[in-house]
Amino acid sequence: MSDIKATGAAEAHQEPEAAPDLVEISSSDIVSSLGGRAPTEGQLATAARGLGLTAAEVTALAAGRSNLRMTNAQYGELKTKLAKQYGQGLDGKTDAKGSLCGSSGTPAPPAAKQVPAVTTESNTRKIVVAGTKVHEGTVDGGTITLRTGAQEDVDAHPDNFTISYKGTDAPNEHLLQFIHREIIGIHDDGSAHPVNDSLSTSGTRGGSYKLTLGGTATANGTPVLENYNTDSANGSDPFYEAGGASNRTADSTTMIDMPSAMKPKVDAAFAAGAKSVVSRAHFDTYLVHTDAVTYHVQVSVEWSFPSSTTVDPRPTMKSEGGGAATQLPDLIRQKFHAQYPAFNFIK
Amino acid sequence: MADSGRVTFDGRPLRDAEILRIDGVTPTALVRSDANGRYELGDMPGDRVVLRVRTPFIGVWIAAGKAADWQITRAELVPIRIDFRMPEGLTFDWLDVKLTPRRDEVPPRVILATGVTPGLAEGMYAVRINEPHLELVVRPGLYDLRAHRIIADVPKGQDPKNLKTDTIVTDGPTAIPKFGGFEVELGPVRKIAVSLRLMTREEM
Repeated sequence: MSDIKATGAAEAHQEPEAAPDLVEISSSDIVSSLGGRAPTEGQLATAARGLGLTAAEVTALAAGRSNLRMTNAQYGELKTKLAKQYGQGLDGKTDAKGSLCGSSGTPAPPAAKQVPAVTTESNTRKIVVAGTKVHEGTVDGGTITLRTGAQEDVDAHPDNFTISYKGTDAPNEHLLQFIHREIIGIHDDGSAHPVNDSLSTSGTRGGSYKLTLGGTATANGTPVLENYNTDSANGSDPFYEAGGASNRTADSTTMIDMPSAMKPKVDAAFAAGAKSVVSRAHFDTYLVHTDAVTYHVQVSVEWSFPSSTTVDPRPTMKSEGGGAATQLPDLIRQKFHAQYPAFNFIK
Repeated sequence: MADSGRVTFDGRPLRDAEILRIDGVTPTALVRSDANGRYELGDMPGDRVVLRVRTPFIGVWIAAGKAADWQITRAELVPIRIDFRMPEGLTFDWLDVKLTPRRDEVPPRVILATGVTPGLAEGMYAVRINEPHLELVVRPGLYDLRAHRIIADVPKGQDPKNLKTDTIVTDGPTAIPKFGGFEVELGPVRKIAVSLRLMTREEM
């Protein structure tokens, strides 16, 4: 744990132990030390996080709700990091030579234990129906929004969900999504029988994942390690934007997902004697800022097949919550690191 | 006293056969035969015992009451061959094939049970093949056959060229489409030609 603390934040914090050489630094002090050049909230967050602050502490600092207590040496390091960002033009608007990750499909390896900023815009997907906002939060000096019922112009399918981050440090924001699924047959006697099988995926890391067991008609199963999969179509870049439908602009990144029910496995459940079948896909999507998780959004999608003749039913999509996050849960982190070991600096 | 039995094939021990004790339609025990073909079911309740064999042949045998000794012979099995035809313009790379015996004595959920906790396999016998044909030895009877090449969670706009069974031609009784697969009477049917087709996004 870092010995740097934010003070006065709305979130509960332990007061740091008294130390004679600690100084209290506000964001305005940082602006003064940089000759009046105010860092973006994202830049401030990057530098502060590099010194060990949690996402909540960074958010509080950026919002002016807290100050930093640190040693003079640490304060110097923070100023150096911010100054270096200015020098490298990392405001994401002018440096077209930056390493790409997420939207290009040809990411540079994260040699510096951080995800390279994406400075190239890719804004070709046209969302003609924005959908319903079902979750929104503030993070990293911006806003993250989950919408369901979105539609693109490329098809008439009305059941996309989108997750977007909009903020000043968008080039350093990346969407990391995990999926697990369950398909449950309900038999004449009311008993629930999950399909116990695997799904092959297009990513090259792992290649498949098992369906989650333990669910019923109304209750979700409990995923274990083998049930999770990093939801990326790219074998070396784990972020959704690397292969999934997405848009990226100078101040935003948006992913568009339209999961399917896995009808062949629904059919198999009917063949096994089910009278009705429920298929569910569960998504845990994390906002990664440079090298750390800062936010978590949960989405569930459920398709109901009341009979074997049901064709392409519309799903129920809903937010299962979201909020500030500082790390991946254990199981997801284990799976992620196994599938994308080059990104094991993301905890 | 342990409830035990033995499985042999042409007089030799058959290892790794699965034996299920079922109580009604609920599995209460699942064990495998050892190198000597022997198995012990313990004292869980049940009224029938089901033998499932996936290799070196495929079949299900069912006995009433307690553990049984099964002496299976080659004479009661038949060889089958399945050929797969790709849609025009596509090259075969891999295919998942699933074959499940259908038996009047027990519902599919018994034959497909993956354990004593709820969970059903998609097929009792499942194999991923890398050549467009498959040769098996099976106990004659009605079987559910399904074949797919499915890549899941593919991003919008990308075509994974997912495949499903379109039609089946046999050298015997007609295969009947059912729940996305086909029911086929193996024994009378020895040769099967499966034509595959591309799946639409809506079929996924």
